[in-house]
Amino acid sequence: MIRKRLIVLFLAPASLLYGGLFLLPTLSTFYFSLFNWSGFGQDMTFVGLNNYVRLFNDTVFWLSLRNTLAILFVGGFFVFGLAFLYTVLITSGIWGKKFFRLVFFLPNVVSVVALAGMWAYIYNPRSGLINTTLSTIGLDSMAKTLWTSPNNIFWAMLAALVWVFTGFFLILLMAGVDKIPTDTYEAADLEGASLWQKFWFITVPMLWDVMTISFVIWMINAIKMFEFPYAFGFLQVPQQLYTLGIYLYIMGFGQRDPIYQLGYATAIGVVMLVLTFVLIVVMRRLLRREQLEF
Amino acid sequence: MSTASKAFEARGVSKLYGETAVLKDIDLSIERGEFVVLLGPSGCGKSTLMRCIAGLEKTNSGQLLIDGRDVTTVAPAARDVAMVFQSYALFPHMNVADNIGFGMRIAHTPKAEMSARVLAAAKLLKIEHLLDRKPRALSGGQRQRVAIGRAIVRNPKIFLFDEPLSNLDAALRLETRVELTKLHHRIGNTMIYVTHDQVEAMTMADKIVVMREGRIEQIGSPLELYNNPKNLFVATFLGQPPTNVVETTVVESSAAGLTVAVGEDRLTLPATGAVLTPGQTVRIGLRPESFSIGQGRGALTVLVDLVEQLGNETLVHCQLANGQTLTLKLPGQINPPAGSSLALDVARDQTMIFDGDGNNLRYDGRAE
Repeated sequence: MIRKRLIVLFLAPASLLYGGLFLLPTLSTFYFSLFNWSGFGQDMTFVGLNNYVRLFNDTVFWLSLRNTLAILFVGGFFVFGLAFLYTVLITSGIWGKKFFRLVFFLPNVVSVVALAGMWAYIYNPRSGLINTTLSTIGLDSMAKTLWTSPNNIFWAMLAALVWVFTGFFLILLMAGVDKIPTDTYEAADLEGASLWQKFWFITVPMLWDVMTISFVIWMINAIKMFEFPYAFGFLQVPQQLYTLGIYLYIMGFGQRDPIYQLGYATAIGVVMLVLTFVLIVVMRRLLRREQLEF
Repeated sequence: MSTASKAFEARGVSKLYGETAVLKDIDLSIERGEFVVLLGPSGCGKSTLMRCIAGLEKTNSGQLLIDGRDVTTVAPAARDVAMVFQSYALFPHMNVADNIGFGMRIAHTPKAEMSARVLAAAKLLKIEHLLDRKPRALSGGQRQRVAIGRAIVRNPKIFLFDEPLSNLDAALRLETRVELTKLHHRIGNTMIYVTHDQVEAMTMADKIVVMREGRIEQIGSPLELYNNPKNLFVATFLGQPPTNVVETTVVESSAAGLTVAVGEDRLTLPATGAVLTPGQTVRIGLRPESFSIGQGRGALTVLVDLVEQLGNETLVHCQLANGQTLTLKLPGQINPPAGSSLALDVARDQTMIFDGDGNNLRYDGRAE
C-alpha cells in the first residue's frame, strides 16, 4: 500500500507537468479550432468546422502544406541520401573519422539565425560565394542567377536546410554503425563483398532500428519546420517559404502587422498533429521488422 | 626449395601495432591437407598471424604465400581462404541458408546451384533441418556449425579457425573437437586453427606451432613437442597438469650419466652431452605422469600436501624436503594421507634438463 502511494507520489510531478503543459493544451487545440477567436479575452464565437472549410479553400495553406511535404520528402531524400553516403565513406576505414564527423555535425552547434544569415551571404546575387565562384570559373551566365528570387528561394532554402540537418542524422547513423560488430564486416570482406554490397546486405538491415527512429525524428522535425525557413526569410517571410508551422505562427500572432486569428491558427495546428500522427503510424508499419540480436 | 607443394608459407613476416611488434620475423610452412594449430598464451600473436593470413591485417614486412602465390597485398576475398570467427560473425538478419550462401549470393551464383551447395554443406554438418532459422533461434553449437558451413561451402584452399570452440560449454567443446577432426579427415583441406587450449592442440593437430611474444618457439607434431620440447616454455605449456620444474645441483656429469642433488636425494639421469660442472644449478623438468610410488626407498622423498581423486587417476600435490612443490599424476585410486611421506621412482628417460636460459639440454633438433 505504502509502495503504491510512493509510486504515485514520485510520478505525480512529471505527470502534472506533462498533463498540464502538453496533454491539456493539445486537447484544447481541438476545442479552440472550432472557434473564431483572437486569442485575447472572452470574445469567442463558435463556428463549428468552418475554420477547416476555410483552410480547404485557402491557397496559402495549400502552398504551406506543399512546402512542408517538399521539405519532408525531397529534403528527407537528400538528408538521408547524404547521411548514408557519408556514413559509408567515413566508416570505410579512411583517416580522420572523428574529424569528418565533427565537420559534418558543426552546423548543429551554431544558432539557426546565424546559419540563415550566412546562407543569405552565400546566395547574395552580387557578392555571394556561389555567384562569385561561378564567375571566377567562367560560368558568367549562371553567375547571374538570382538564387533568392521567388522562383528559386524555396529550393535555395531547402539546399541550406539539407546542409544543416545532414550532420545530425549522420551522427545518429554512425552511432548505429559503430554498434555493428566489426567481424560481421570482416566476414563479408572474406566473402568478397564490395562497399556497396556491405552497405546493402549488412549495414542497412543491421541499422534498421536506428534508421526507423531517425526517420521518425526527421518526420517530426520536417512537419513542424519553422525556425530555419523563417530566419531565412528574414524580416518579411515571403509566402514561397511558408511551412505549416510558419503559416500557423503568422495567422496566430502576425508578422510585422498583427493578425491574431488564433482559432484559425489552431486549426492549422490540428492538421499538423493529424499529419504527424498518420505519417508516423504508416511509416512505422512499413518499416516494421523483427528485432535483431547482435 | 620448391614452394609449389606448400599450401601456405610465411617468410620473415613482421607486424607492428604502433611501436609494439606483435609478430617478429615469422617463418612457417604448411603442407597441403595439414591441420596446423597455432598455440600460445593470450597476446602471443597467434590470432594476429591468422588475421594476416586472412588479409584482415596488413603485414609490415615479409611475404605470405598461398599455394606458391604471393598474397601479401592481395584482398581477403582473393586469397581463397575461409575463416570461422570466435564470435561466429553470423549475419543476424539472415536465416541459416542465406548465411551459408552469402558469398554465392553476392557473386550472383545461379539460385539452383546455390541451393544445392548450401544443402550439401548443411548435410555434411547435419544442420539441414535448420536452414530456415535465424541465428538467434539457434544454440551455440548450431551457430558454430553454420559458421563452419559458410566456410565449407566455399571449398577454400585454407580454412582458418579462430578459437572456434571457446564459446561452447565443456561437453559440447569435446564433441565439436572430435567432429572438426573428422571433418578434416573427410574434406582434407588445409586447416589453420588458433587456440590457447593445449588439449585442443594436442588432440586435433597434425602439427603444432607454439608461439610466445610474437615469435615461433617450436614447430612439430604433438608428440614431438611433448616428448622433445625445445625449451622450458614449450615443456611447461604442453601437458596438463604442467611439467614440474625442480632446481637441482649437479653432483657429477660424465658420458655415463648425470647425477644431480635434490635436497638430500640423488637422482641419476641419462647424460646430456652438454658440459656441466659439479656444483652448477640446473632445472630439471619432470612430467607429472613420470612418477611412480617407489619400491623400497625410491629416488625422491616427498611430503603429501593434497590429494585430488579423478577416479581413473589421482593427482597428488606434494613438497620436496627443500620446499619445492611437485604434482604427481598416478594411475588408479590411491589415497595417501596429507602430511605422510612418499618414496617416488622417476622414469629417468622422460626427464628434461634445462640450462640457465631455459633451453632443453636433451632437445634433439633432428627430430623435427
